[in-house]
Amino acid sequence: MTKMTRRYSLVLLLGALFVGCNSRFFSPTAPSDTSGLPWSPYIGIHASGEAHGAYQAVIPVLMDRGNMVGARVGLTASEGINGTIKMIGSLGIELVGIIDNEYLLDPNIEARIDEIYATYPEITYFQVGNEVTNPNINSATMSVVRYMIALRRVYDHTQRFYSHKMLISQSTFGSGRIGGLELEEMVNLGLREMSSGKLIVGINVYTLEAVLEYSRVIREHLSGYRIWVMETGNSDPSQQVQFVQNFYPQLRTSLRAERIYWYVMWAGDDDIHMPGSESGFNLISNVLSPPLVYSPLFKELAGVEE
Amino acid sequence: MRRLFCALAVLILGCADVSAQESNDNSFYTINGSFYHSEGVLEGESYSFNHLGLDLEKNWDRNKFGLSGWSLGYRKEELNKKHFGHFVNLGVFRRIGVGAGFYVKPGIKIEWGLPSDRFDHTVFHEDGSYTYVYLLRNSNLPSEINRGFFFWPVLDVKVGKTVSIFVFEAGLRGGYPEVVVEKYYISEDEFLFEIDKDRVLIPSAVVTVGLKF
Repeated sequence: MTKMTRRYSLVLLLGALFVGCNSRFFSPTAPSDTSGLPWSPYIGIHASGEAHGAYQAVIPVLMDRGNMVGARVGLTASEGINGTIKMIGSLGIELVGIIDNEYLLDPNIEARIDEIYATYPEITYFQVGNEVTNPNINSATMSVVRYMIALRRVYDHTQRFYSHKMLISQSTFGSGRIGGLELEEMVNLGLREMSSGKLIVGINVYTLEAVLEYSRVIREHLSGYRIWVMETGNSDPSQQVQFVQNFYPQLRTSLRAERIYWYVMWAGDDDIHMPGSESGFNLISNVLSPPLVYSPLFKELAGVEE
Repeated sequence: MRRLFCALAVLILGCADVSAQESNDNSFYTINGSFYHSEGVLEGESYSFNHLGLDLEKNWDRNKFGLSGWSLGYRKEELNKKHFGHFVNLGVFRRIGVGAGFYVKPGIKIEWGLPSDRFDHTVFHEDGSYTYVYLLRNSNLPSEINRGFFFWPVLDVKVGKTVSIFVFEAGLRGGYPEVVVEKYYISEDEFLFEIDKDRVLIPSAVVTVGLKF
């Protein structure tokens, strides 16, 4: 065997050994959390009248266990006063109200904000928009540029007349890099001109790739700003408990998320395997045809068997 | 940091050029697989993890500029994650014989890569305050990707012995990154924030098995 042949053979052998070593045996160790579910007691709620009774029944159960302190609800321009939101607030739940695109696209945003604040004086936290560029959840979308103009107007009006209210920026898209890049665009368009004491940065986060992109943007641009994860969750009910075990600590660790809102208490009773169905994220199901069915995560949080 | 990287590259290239001009060259290469274990405490949070490395080393037949050779390597943290934890490094070392076939090998490297987020952590306190700690990503290369790479200097010291074509080494390695500590707290209803930066040593134990050719 020539010296050159021996060298090539050794390089190939070592390369094969190195690849072969990529096994679980060599996987990095990680601290395990044995102190219970690393839950954050905040849940997104679709304030639908048909679920009024179900919410009235299950929210106190979660509250008794200390597993529900706050909820995020949508405020829709066309519906007037929402009795379900009023009911949830009356239970002692702290509410975050989402000001949707319909309001933000109104030429007289300030007047619409006055109406919202007058309608829901019990709400202190308002999220200004949610995934505003996403056509799947907004009947009318808006560009980030237009959004930032609207946010600035809401911010200025709130600071002038309602300084006790706290605003949360729109939650950007939760999968892939899109949300992080959009958040970075918001920074470039003047997000940091608004006080970190008066504006919380909201993000939606469903995947590890999104965590990575958000963490980069937060490290580089958003030191000093509070971070709330306004949506996260898993559409496979059997994976939800494990998702909380694994992903919630990641959100706190990498994004310093003060709060994490689970998506969602109930988003319909569709078959979870139906394309586009959000029902897999549900904590409770069969709302339209009781008895209620509880997801494994809900059972864990509520301490119930069935 | 970039100056250090350039200086190492120039030094290695200069030495390689000198080496190529010599006859009866008894220099040799080794290809080394390394297993690293890092453990310690960083700003109140303990860490413990393993990583793997693969290096190509050139050992000159005699020292040049006080050095015995150069190395080019790849290191992988988070073996089950493809998005991050990749590093390449370039360095120089000195072999010092200590008898009975053993040698001591101190070296210095400059490492560039995309770190994992294992050192990033947030500690929440009961009073509502919290501390966010992360490695400073100080490299915008490659700028078009801009995903938070960094350069950091690495020092290592190994004790080794060559048996036939096999190389066995063990030692310590220390990375020296810059760490950012952000403190958030509420005082008199005001949400306040402080930021601090400092360099810290991230130590690792390393065991290396190599082949000489």
